[in-house]
Amino acid sequence: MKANHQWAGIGLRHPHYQDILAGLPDLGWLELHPENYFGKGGLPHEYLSKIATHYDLSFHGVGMSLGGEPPLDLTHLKRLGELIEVYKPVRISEHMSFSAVPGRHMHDLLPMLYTSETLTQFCDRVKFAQDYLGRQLLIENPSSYLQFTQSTIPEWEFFASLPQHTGCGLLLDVNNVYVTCQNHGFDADDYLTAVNASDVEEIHLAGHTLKHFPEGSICIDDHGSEIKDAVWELYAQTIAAMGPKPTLIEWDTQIPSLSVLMAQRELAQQKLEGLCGSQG
Amino acid sequence: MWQSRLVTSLLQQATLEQKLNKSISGSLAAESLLQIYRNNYFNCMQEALQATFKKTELMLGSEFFHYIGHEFILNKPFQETSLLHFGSEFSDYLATNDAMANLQYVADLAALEWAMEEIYNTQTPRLDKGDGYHLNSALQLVSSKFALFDIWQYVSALDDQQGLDVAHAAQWVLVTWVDGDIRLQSFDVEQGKLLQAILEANLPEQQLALSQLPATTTNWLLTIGVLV
Repeated sequence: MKANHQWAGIGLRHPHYQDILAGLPDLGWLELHPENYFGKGGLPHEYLSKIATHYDLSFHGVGMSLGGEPPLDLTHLKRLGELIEVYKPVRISEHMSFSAVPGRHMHDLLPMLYTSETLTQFCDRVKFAQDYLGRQLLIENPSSYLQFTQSTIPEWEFFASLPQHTGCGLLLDVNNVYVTCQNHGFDADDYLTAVNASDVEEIHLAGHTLKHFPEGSICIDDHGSEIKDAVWELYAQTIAAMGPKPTLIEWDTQIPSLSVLMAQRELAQQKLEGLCGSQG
Repeated sequence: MWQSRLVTSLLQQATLEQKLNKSISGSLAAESLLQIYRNNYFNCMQEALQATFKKTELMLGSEFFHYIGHEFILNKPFQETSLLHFGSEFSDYLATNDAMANLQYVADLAALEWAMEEIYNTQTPRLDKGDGYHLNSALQLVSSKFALFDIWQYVSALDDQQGLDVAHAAQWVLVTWVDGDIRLQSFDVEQGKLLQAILEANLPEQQLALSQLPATTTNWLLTIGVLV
């Protein structure tokens, strides 16, 4: 890492390009969605090429549709590979979800059916992508609002088993664990206990909102607010059990000023440093 | 198959097919749960349109823009994994939509906004001049039979549009990237067609053709940023 004393990073979003270059804030790394840089040139690359000289980058893909049924999009993999070659990210991640069906890409992270058959299909696709890119992928656990009654494998078992089948790493989104557990009545301890700490190479934290319907309430993972206290508590519990991990503050909607984002990042950094201190 | 059935249910706000209804569980009714994903999808795509076509939305009003954006999302399935090219067909969609029959200049405004988006996201001006002049690699020319540049200026200034005569005189607009900023320049049809001919010249002979231009034309092209 270019600043390896800092474990906590933030998402690189275009409203902050100039502020980051002007101030070069002290942070460990920056996450970005590589799909936003699939153009061959333009202002995004102008900024990114400068920013990349100061910070480590983590690519967090949102478009691969690893859980989908159609074959993986080779154009996508090719362009992603080109970006990896240019920017040399320290980590590359994707999602345990599907986004595309024949003829349409939904640009959303849709929930999967969890069975031995879909596990095999998902793992085959992860292995294909890793082989194509020549890099390990980290796979992120989803936030979900519904389950399929035909699922036969608990989500946390499906997720936790991916490294042994594919050699991938895990990206543990603690907010997603919280949201999913709240929405489906899961126990977050079951989720976290199932995951092998050494498989987790990145952690995400984000805000969520509680939405009320006539028949009840549901947590919506909207990445549009400060991290809730309950998620901070779950994060503290997670890193206490797993050790310090590179941690991202994700904020993708209603993007605040860089100072607000940095204040959230500082909270995560303090927890990580406190942990390192307590571990001697 | 279950994925396609789920997506179909998200796109069509109709009664869930019974089989899918029985397949979904959660803390709310199946339709409420699907509505969350439906909102996520349409909001994401609408926000992408709004981010690119800000002036078009101002001209149409948010309600109508949202309506026609929804139709566009449904009727023009977007297949790419990156949203960078989402909206490339929007001006054509507006131009051929019956509801837009009397608002054709808005389709041209959308084409102009798309040209700016293309410059912003995908094109970098060549800075190495090397030997001789080269065509600026970051430019787009948008033709129109309306006063497109005037329309742009009116909307950009958030002026009331009372003094705007969209049919006053046809204006073509050149979009270039100069010193980190996107610049718009207006030309009459004759100048526009000359620019178009220069821009459409075949690349292998381009440098030769450029060297054969009259000095006054070369100077003009340098002034407006077409040559660098």
